Amino acid sequence: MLRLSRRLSKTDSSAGNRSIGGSLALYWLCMVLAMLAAALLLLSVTGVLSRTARQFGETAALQQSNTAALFTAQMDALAAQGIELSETVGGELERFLAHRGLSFDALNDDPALIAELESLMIPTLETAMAGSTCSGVYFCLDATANTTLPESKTSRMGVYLRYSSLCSAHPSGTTAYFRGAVDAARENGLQLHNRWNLELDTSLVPGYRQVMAWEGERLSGGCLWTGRVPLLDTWESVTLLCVPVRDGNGTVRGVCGMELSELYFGLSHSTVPSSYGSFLMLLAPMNGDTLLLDKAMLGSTEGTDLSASGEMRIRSGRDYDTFIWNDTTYLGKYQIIPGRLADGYPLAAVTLIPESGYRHRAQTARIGWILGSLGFLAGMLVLAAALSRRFATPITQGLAAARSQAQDWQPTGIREIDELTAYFHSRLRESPPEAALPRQVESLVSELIDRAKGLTGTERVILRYYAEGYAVKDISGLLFISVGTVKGHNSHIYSKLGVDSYDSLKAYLDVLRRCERLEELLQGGGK
Amino acid sequence: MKKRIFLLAALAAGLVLCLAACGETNGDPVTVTLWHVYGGEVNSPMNALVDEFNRTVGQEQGIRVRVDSVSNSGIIHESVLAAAYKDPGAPELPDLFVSYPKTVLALPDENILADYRDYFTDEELEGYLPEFVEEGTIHDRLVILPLAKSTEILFVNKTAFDRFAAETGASLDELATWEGLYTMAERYADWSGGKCFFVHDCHFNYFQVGVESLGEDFFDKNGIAFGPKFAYAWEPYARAALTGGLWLGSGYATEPLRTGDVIASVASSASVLYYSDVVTYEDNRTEQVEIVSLPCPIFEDGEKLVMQRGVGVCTVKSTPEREKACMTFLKWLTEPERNVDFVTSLGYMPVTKEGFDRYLPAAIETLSDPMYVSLYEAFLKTRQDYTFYVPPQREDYLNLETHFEKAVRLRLAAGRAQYLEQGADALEPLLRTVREELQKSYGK
Repeated sequence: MLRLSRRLSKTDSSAGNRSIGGSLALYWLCMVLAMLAAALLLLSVTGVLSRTARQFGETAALQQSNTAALFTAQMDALAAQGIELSETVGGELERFLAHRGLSFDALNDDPALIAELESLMIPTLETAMAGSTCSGVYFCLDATANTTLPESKTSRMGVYLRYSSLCSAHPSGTTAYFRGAVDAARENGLQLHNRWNLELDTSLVPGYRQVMAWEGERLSGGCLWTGRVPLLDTWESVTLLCVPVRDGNGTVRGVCGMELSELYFGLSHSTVPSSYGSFLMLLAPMNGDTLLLDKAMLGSTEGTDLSASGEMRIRSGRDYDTFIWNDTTYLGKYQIIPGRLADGYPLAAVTLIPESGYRHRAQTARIGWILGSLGFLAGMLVLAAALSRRFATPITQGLAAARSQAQDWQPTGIREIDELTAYFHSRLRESPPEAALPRQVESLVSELIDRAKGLTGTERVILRYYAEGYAVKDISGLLFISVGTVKGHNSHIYSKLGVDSYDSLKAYLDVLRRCERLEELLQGGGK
Repeated sequence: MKKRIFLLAALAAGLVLCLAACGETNGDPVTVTLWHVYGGEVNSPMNALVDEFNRTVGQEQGIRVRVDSVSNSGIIHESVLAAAYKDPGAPELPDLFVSYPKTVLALPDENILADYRDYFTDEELEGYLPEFVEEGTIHDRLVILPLAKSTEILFVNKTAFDRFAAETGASLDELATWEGLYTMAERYADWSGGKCFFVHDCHFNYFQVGVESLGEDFFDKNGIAFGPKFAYAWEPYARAALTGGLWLGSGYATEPLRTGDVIASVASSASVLYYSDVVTYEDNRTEQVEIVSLPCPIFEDGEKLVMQRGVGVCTVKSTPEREKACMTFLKWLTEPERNVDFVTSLGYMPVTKEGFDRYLPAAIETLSDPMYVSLYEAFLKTRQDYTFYVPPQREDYLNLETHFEKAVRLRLAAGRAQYLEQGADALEPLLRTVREELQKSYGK
């Protein structure tokens, strides 16, 4: 009694213990989270969750704005320097002719006069070249050393200087004398280019005629850029800035400007590394949705197969644009920038990366998501299993304690289970097992014991064997009698005890064992 | 339960592996950079070969060769040294650059270059002509792989020469010796009213090979020996220079030929690419001319010795991946048949035995440009009759050459001015004094 009250008080004191409701809630939370993780895994596998496209679009847009700003600034600076060069050349031309009392036309058919003027202009060109981010500089005037030649209509006097051995963005190569009078070069200590010629062939300069025909007030209005054109007899190609050169009367007498060679452009615009691969920069004329790479300038194309040939088709997208060139796909952005081209096409600054780089990154992100959600799912399932085990074990322990009626049962720590166990124990204590036997069962058991008094000694022995769990065959062996004899005894036992089958007999024996009165029956109705 | 966990883990691992396998590798090609001299400012056959490589083998193997500079060996020498010494504003060293041994010897650390013996098998290296491999071996490491070799050739504007010959009876046979050539230069200057007849691409080479051919060492341990045979070689040369027959301007030997200022030159056979068969005069008239090639002149009493020229290619150590890409390209480039096609488009000799013996004769027969046909006739004659001279591997070689080129031209140009001022009587004293001044500048 004292022990029971201690147990009850233990149960009472554990009233503050965890509740099974809370535990179940935690278990269900784990299951819900596991389902969520499974859904996340599914979404990750299908790629619905990936934000790579949007992130790439943002990165490309940022880089694109840098590219556009860079190209715009470079072209603006060159245009400004070109205009300054034009004004200087125009001024020196005027002084040169005025000093000698000559008209502009006097330059025609006078190689010595042309050489003298060109020699005078060379320092100006060298200064302009040194102060600009360009690979060459030139001027040509609408006069020729020999008007009698068949090609005299397109052959024009002038000087064209260019770096011939560039190998870095800082112009450090030799200045080669590409066009101009030999004497002028030698007076100024310049080395002739391997493909030197005396005069410029204006038919190879797109936009020359447009600039010569220009009539306007501000020189900036007359500036234009050629697309990329091959430099005659060399392996290089160039884009030329063409600025009108005017005399004192405002008459356009020639063209001058800067050269951007493909080599120099490539060296000056390196690729920009990013987590998606290296961004390339292009400056390309645009025709509808096509970039004309034949006339484009390409920054460094390191790590790609891209070359300045053919056309590149553009497909606009939500986050970024897709560029297709020779069956290779690039991704990036483009933007039209200010700048007038001789052939009238708008000029686009383009930033792109090979699609493979983007795909590689996207794949990495996707695998990351999948691994993450897979790990989360596994974690939740393990947690749910652990919770289930943790809360199921006390329940089975509690039930076992309740069934065993042991007095020294240990509380499980779960309030509801401990209360239930304590309840069972209190009920058991209050109602002993004898009193608990129903009255009808009691009378049935007593009747059976009475009937057992009529059994013979052999029948009682056989009944005991049955009570001990032996079968007919076993009993026949134990008593050295035939099975038929055992069965004969059986029928007598059944009729004397009032049972109708072997199964009923087994049931009665079981009930008597539970009531602890089996021995009474086997001893023939008395203890 | 354990079985179930194992199954789940296996499924998860399988899924991850599948995804990883589905994911493409980045696949960007390995880009290697190249500085070379084959083409300079003109159309470059090397660049065409690089394009072909990039389109074919490069495409297959994920290699891209990018030409970052095409210039001459002098400029590449300067750029390589600037990069190697990390001068301010200097470019990064490329993966591949062409070079003479003098450039390698001037590097702060030769170990920045790969040893080709680590990448080529003995069998592969045996395919190259042994003298070329030996030339590229510096301090027991093969750091310069032969690519194309040249020699010095006499180029003559035959159209202009024929006009001169018609009036003076001059003959091309007289150009077989230096004595004959310089005498003719004097006659030409006289005939043309002071125009130069001849330009030598490298005066240093003229003296070096000339003195050696006369049986004397051109160098001593301190530099140039300036022995008696130097004085012998000096006499006709300086006489022609002072009287106006020898071009003393700087720049390429092709330059005065293109403008009609001279009509003969000795230069590398590879300069054929830069010769133009059109001469442009100051009034913009042009003339189509015939350029013929002859073996380099020799001294009457000298051995038939001629300078062997032609850079090789060096590979800068980087990552195994890049170095392997470089070697793939170089092996492709020096395959015998391709090497012959390459060299015959540039006026060079092939570098492999098989190329020389099997493919070169057939390639010469297919040449159609008369300038190239004439060049290879002279080439074969030179190979048959001459001994090739390879300059010694001296660390001061480049300094000696650069200083000599500048000093000799400046002193002779000053002497020429004095000659014009003082007249023919000043010639003999000037011949001696200009040489003495030159020697003095070397402390001799």
